[in-house]
Amino acid sequence: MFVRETKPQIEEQYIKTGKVYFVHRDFPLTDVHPGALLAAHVANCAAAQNGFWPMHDQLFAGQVAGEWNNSRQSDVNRFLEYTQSLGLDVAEMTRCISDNRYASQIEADFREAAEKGVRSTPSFLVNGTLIVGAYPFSAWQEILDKQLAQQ
Amino acid sequence: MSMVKVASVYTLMLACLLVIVACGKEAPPRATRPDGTSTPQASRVPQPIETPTESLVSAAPPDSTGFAPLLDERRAMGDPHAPIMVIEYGDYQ
Repeated sequence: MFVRETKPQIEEQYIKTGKVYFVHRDFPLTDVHPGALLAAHVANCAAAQNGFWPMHDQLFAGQVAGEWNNSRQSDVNRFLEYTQSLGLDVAEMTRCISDNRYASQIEADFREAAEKGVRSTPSFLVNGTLIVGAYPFSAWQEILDKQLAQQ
Repeated sequence: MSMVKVASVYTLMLACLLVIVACGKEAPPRATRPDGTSTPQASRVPQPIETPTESLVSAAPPDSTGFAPLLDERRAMGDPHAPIMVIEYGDYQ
């Protein structure tokens, strides 16, 4: 829900207006989400082709639609379909995944998140304050406006 | 030196060599999360081959390809000088 409904509103009212700098970090909870680690690899490989956010949103939409989440070959095939539909280089994506290119990046993200108290997804740090869960836009407005007022 | 003594020396040398080989380096312990559960093996990724795979493939050492770390800005949007920074921790679920 956050990606589909809330994030677009945050983007329009806060990110595009210069009030918020929005960053993604990986926190793959593979114990409960078996496809999460591969998805993180795919997203990072897409980022290397300057296609991170389209792939980020596509991964979320695909997962909600039940198109992937088992980390098997079917997921790989699905992610390569996403890659092609987003106009990214499929051969490069394949190489990137095979090379395990961003494994240390993902591990570093996870370690950093755990050190900051992150235990579940989605979680957010808003100027260092931990917010846990996918709140609706109205709650985000309150959080962000309060932060802006304190600046 | 007698043949018996020579054989004993060689036997001793062989035994020392076997001990050295047996004292191999142990695998590093698996990292654990603060709550005691295991961290994900971020280095294990399925291989995109023609035939289907059943599970995550074997581990590969990190940084083995020599590629530079991904630039953080590629996973960010907006003005990096904005008054508020929001970091989303997610796993695409």
